[in-house]
Amino acid sequence: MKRTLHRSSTIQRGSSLLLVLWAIMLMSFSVMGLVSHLSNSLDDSIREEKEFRARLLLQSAVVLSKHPAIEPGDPLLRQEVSPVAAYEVSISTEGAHLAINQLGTNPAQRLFAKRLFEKWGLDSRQSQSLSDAIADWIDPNDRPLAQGAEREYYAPLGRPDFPFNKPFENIDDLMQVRGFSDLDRLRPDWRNYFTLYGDGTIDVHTAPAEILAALFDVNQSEIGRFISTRLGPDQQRETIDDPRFASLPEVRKLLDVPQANYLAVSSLLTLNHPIKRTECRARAGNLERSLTLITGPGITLLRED
Amino acid sequence: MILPKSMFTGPNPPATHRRGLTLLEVVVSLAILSLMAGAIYGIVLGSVESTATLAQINREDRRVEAFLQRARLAFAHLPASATVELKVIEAEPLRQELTLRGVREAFIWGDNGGWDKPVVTLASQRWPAELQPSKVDAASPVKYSLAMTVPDFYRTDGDGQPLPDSLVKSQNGHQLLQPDVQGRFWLDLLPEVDRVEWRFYVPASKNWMELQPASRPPLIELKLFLQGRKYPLRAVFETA
Repeated sequence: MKRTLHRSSTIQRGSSLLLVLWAIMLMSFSVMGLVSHLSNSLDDSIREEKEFRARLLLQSAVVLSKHPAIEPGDPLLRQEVSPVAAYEVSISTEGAHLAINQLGTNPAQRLFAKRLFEKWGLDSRQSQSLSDAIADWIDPNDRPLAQGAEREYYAPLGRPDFPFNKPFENIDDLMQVRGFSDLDRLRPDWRNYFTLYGDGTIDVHTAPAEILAALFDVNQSEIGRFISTRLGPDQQRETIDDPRFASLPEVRKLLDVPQANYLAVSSLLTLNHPIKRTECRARAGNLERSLTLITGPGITLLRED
Repeated sequence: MILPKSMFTGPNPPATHRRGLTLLEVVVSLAILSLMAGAIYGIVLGSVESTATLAQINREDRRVEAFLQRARLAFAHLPASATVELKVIEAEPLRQELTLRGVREAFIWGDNGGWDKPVVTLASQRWPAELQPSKVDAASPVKYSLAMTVPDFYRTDGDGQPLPDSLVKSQNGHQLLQPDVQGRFWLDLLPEVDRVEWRFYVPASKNWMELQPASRPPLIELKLFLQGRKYPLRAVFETA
């Protein structure tokens, strides 16, 4: 009798402790769940608020960039609205990029592309081969160029639908072209140098030094004087003091490149490229949003990143 | 009845002593629970308040976005004959009136095709005295709303002066809009703002001005200082 009572009281004492522990555990779980839910809601709301501010900034940036009263380099295009909010507009042209879709029809463009690939580290044979393969991808026929690649190359690889025999519509399709993966390994940022929309001309006001050096087949030091002049007295890109060249002979005087090199590509040079690229970037706290506008004759494209 | 001594002494402590220990356990557990509950209450209360504040901010943002969209549309579709006027009505704190004349569709809603008397004025308006907070808050000493007025909101006498009743009434016939000292009836668009700043861009001087320019400005800037927000919202509108 005594033993039974003693065991029963021990069980009861153990039960109360267990119950308390269970209660603490249950409370902890429910509170953790609640706090986690509230924390997620909080994060969502904060993000929504930042998105809203970034959207407002982008809308203002687009309005300013499109307005004819605002010239490239105007300080209004680069403003810090508050310590946590800023926007920046970069106005360039598609003439700053290699117009990849022109390679199918224009041998001068293919030569330009070959030189650019060489400067990026491909050897002469690989560069020629890649340039021809890209041209074959675009041209409507199935006759390969000297070092190109047409259907008979891609079909055994299980891609009888390659090449598309039409201009590229997506820049990433270049990765399907024979030999392009080698270039991708050497220059993972190649997308910054190509365009689908250019007419093939190179804008001397906006083309980067690397593109100009490849175009004229010279070292970047040989176009250093031209680049320095183009940046204006403050030596900063896209500022109000950047000069506009009136003519190509004026540009020629500043280019320390051999006459033959200049003449070989002078037909590709332009002072006013018709297709404008406007890149607007907005920052709200740690959130960044950007938007690219490509406008020109017959083209209006808006891409939100 | 004499109980054996072994019931009170021996290897096991007496049952009464054990019950005391159980009580101590419960007391300690309750103390832990209380401490936990206190800490949790603080955390949960803080989280709930923060979430509610942010939800309120998000709701305000939606209203602001709707207002900005209407403003963008109004400025982008200004007819050639329309004018945009900016008038400073109070210097400190800055209060301005922006008036769009000749834009029938500006800030219109409902089935109306346009205002009969298309003179839309936007300005920050003080809340009525009875709605002002009794305790003055240093950050927002006086409460304002961004409001609009159109002559369509009120009746006028023969001289064109507003009569003291509004055309906009509730279903029960109560007057919804309140008149200002000039008798113009205002409709709140954004109910809680600290300050509203309008500026016009002058291309010749490449400057934003708070004064009326000679010709229609190509760009209009709005800075909205919302209550409780550290930084203003800024929007730039293009005029047609």
